[in-house]
Amino acid sequence: MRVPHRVDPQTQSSIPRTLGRALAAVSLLTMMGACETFQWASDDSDEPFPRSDHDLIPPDDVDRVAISRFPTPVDEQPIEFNHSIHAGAIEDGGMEMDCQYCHYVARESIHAGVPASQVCQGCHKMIATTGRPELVKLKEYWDAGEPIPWMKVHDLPDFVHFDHSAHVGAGVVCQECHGAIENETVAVKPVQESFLEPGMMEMGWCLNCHKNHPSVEENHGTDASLRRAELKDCYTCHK
Amino acid sequence: MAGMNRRDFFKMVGVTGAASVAGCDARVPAENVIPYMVQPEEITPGIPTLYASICGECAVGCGVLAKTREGRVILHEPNPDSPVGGSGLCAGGVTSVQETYNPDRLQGPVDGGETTDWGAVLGKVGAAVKGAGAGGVRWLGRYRTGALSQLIGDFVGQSKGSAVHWEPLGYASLSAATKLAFGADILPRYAFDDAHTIVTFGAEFLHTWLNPAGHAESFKNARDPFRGDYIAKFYAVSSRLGNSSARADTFWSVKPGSEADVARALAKLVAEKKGRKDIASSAFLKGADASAAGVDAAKLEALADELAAKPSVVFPGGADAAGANATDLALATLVLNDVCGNIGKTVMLGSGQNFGPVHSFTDVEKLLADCAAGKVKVLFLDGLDPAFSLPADANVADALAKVGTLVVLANSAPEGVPESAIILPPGSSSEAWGDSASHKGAYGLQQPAMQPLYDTRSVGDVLLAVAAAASLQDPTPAEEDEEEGKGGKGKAGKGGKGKAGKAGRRRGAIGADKDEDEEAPPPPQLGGQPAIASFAAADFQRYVAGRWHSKLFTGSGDFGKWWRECLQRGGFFPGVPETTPKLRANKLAAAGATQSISGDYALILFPHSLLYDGRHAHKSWAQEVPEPISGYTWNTWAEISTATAAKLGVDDKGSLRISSDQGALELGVFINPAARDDVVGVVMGNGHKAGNRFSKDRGFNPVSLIKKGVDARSGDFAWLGTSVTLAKGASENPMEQLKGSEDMDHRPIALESYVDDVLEHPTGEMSALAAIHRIPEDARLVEKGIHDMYPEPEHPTYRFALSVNLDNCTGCGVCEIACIAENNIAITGPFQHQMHRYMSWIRLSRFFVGEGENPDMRFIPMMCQHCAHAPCEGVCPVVATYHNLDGLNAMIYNRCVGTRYCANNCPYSARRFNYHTFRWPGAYTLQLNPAVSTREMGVMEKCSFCIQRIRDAKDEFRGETVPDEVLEHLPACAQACPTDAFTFGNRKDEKSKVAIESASPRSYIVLSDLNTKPGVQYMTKINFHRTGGGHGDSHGDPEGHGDADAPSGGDHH
Repeated sequence: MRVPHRVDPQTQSSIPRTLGRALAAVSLLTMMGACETFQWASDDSDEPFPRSDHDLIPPDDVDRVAISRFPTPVDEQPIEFNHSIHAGAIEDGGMEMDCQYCHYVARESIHAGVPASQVCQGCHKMIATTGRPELVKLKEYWDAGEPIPWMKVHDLPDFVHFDHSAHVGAGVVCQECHGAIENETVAVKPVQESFLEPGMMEMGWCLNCHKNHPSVEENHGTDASLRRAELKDCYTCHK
Repeated sequence: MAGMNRRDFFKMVGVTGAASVAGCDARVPAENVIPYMVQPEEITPGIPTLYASICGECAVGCGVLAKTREGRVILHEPNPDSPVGGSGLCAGGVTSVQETYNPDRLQGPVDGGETTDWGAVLGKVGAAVKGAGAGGVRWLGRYRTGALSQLIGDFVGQSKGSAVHWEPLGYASLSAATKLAFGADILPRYAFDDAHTIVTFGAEFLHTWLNPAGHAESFKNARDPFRGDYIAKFYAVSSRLGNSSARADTFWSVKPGSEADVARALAKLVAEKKGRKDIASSAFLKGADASAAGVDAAKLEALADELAAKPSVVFPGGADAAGANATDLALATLVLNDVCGNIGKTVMLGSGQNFGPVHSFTDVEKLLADCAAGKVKVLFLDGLDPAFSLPADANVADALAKVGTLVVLANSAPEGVPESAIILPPGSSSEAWGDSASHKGAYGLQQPAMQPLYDTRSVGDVLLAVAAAASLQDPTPAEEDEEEGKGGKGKAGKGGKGKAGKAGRRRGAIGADKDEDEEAPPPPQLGGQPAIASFAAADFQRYVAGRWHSKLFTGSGDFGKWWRECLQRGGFFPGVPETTPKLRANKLAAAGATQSISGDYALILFPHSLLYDGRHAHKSWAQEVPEPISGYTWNTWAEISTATAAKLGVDDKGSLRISSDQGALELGVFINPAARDDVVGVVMGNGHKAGNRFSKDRGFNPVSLIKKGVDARSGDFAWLGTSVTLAKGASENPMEQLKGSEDMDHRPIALESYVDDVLEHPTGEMSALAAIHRIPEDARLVEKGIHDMYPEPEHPTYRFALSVNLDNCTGCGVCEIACIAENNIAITGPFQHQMHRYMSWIRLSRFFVGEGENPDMRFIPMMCQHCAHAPCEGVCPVVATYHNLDGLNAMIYNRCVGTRYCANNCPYSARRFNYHTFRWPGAYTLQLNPAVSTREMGVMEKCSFCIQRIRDAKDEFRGETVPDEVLEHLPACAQACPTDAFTFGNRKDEKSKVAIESASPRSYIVLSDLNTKPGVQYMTKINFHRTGGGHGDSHGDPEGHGDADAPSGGDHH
């Protein structure tokens, strides 16, 4: 399987532009099956001024290809932490723990954070682990002095500045962005099907609230339109 | 496909293309999110934690705030609560954070080339010390003050050895001069805020000499027209226009080696004018005559009048005057300071600069001779690189090879150290405890801001462990008093006696202090261990705390509480009343003969303003930022005058071959119009044979051209004295001058005003005192409001703006380095620099405007001007850059597609393009600021006014406007600048400092006739001479008569 080199406009000059584009799209679409693995450009080189020209180094026979910028889907976590048991409604068998009991950093900082192992141990020190392999794993991590290497589910690009404390402070409920996570079991992130799906933490979806969310009126009153203009400013979120 | 817009089409093509290669995971890899095991109380992930500490790069110990994120230091900011070192940092201070992340530093102790463990190696060293016998244990190290100085002194004393504290560009001659003149065992401390006249004989006091950050703050105050009714006039008298002299108002170029004559002549004149006959007729000033030096007698007399009339300050020479009569020069300046009445006013001796014991090169030579003779069983080498700093005939490597056990306390092996040496890496000052006693009344406290990155131990901890292994006993009180009586330098005065007492040391000791007739109270506990300044201390933290308890803690209350307050503040600064010792006129022996250097060209070795004596060469920022005068990076150059260049047929594209009787070097050329025709300058700092990837085998070490020599009176190393021959070199100059245009070309860029105009018109119309191009405006259009096609955009709340004071700017480059540190700016290296692909967001441009006595060198830091009518915004095809509501020109990296049209359009050349994805080697990635993204190839970047800091400030003051005090030093450049040249703020607030400065007569817009409406304005440099006519060159127009030649569109000459 070879990726064709970029269509040369001069050799293809007789073909109308839209058709040429369609041809290019189709030829990309026909790439199927196994291919060479992309690697990350190394920054451990001995060279004092390391630099690369591509973030990912494509294999030799691949020309510049449009690459998805979205994180790899997360299929599993090191421990199958079940939100519905901890945060779910009592009538559903949960304990209705407050989100911020564990994710306490959210009210102060840009991060929501995951709880320190000490927080888990606060209860789990006293909970039997027999017959519960996930709790055994939890105990083993604690005894070994190793933090649990959770996989990041909501991963915004590095050039985005998202401040949890501002949203928590403004009265935005966790479920508005994260969905009804108290009903979910293990937190995973599926393959992103569409850029246009709501709740997938796309920029357009964020801007929706920044333009329309009622909390702005509630918090800012007469200054609301100015605040909305500020919320739409690129520099508010892009760093 | 119909009905789908262009963006969605490309997205679809992108994702489906990716989906088809999805099997090989072409996406950004999934990331982990790692929690704490037990979260420390004071750390909140995402919020920086600041630790007050001190910079460890030199003995001053300026206060810093170590900004940490998630347990790692990312920045060193100045500590506003510390009076040591002023309110900014010097170049050493802002680069100091790179010491921690040096990618090539040793990660554990090394013995004989093999990694070893601490227990074994400390035991080995201890045994060696124990068996060394009298005089067998020696110390050769850098200047140390405070607790470490005491510990070193006790250690070598109790092991019956001796210590030599020396630095290559050290202060032995100044120390000797102070002893001679005042009988004081201290260095003078120059705090010259109230000086009306500043005179330097070459010392780089604003950049690297003694206490540059502190001097810079005094300089700022002395030049402040609103502080008094005067502006301090700055004279430089030296053989080379160095970095600090470049800022002078008047420069008298004198023959190298003759500075002492001028200083003595001046001292004699002033002494006579002030009626100090005892001084004027002393043997020292007898026959003082400046004419041979080339100084006009009338001008000298005029300067003497100035000095006699008002407070002043006189600095000695630097490396350029460190010749055979360096002490005479230093002594002359001290005498001059005394007869001017400066002692106790601008030159402090009571609270003199304390660098601990200061030894001379003669002491070093004796030590090296003892080493070569095999008399030294254990030598501790602390923070020095003597084989690099000293010439070949000092035979350093031979001497080191003959030492029984060589223990090097450094983060990597220095030059000339034999393979068999033991190297004990101390880590950086961000990872260790310590203190500094920079002057009486100001004691800085160093605390670690992070866990040590590697298996390193600080010098203090090593000494305590070795002392234990060698079974050393603490000195008895009698011995200790004797030590203290010997000068007590490095020990913070004797205030401890009779008060809380030296608890723990005195218990049961024989010969107890007669003031104490009861048993001393037990030492305070610190983390379960007693805090005592003795070999029995559990670690150096307890040692420091114990020393502070016995010497500084004057209360009887809770020591722990006081200690915590000191930690939060960054030290203890009680101040001390000043004393004015008397000048011992009868001790001033006759001066030595003027040094004369035969031959065509005298060689002057001068310190690099960023690399200093080479100690910062392993830090990439110090190498990457252009040296402000030459604009050169990553290499060593030779500086010659225009005439010399013409004579030899060289230009700055070629090289110069410099030959002395010791060797020859071929170096890239820098032509300095202010250089003397009989002098060639070579910069120090590079040419390391041992170092890390940034310093090893880079550039040339000019020490290979000289041989050892001393100034007889002090034994200080004589840098001056070599003559050389010059010839055109064969090779090309590998360096480029990275400082912008060569000259202003009649464009109003770096402007100046005349001092009398400034003092007479402190307020007035904006730019009244700046010779900008005044475009005539038709009053009828102005009346209708249609004279300007581009109205001011709406800024509802803030209009962030910067005011840069060119009179304060000394061209030190600290702003550039602070910006690089804060904003994750890439280091591109020498090869990219050949293509001028240099990423620093601030360009420190330097223009040579004058000549002769008024070189009028102008430094102007240039960054994105955040124009309200920006030429770059309209040409971006994807609107990656736009003008935001707060007045910033916003640059959104992920939207940029890299057409580079914006950079093409920018008249200020403020934008930088990432031609590659630059990366950070090794541990340098830990220094990156998480609040700022790193940019990829194809993306344009530029100054953002530190938007991340603005955002944080706005979050902190949610619901209100950020107060001006918070904004004033908000961006990294404004915070770090040691002369406070930057004022940031909200120009919409008329009461803000930036609004007041921007509206002042000295304030102007660079290239104002382009009507870019920038957020950055500059205040003119203040000159003491009127320059002739000509646009952009002349002073402004305070009376408002209008400039008849003002161009209207074109540039008329």
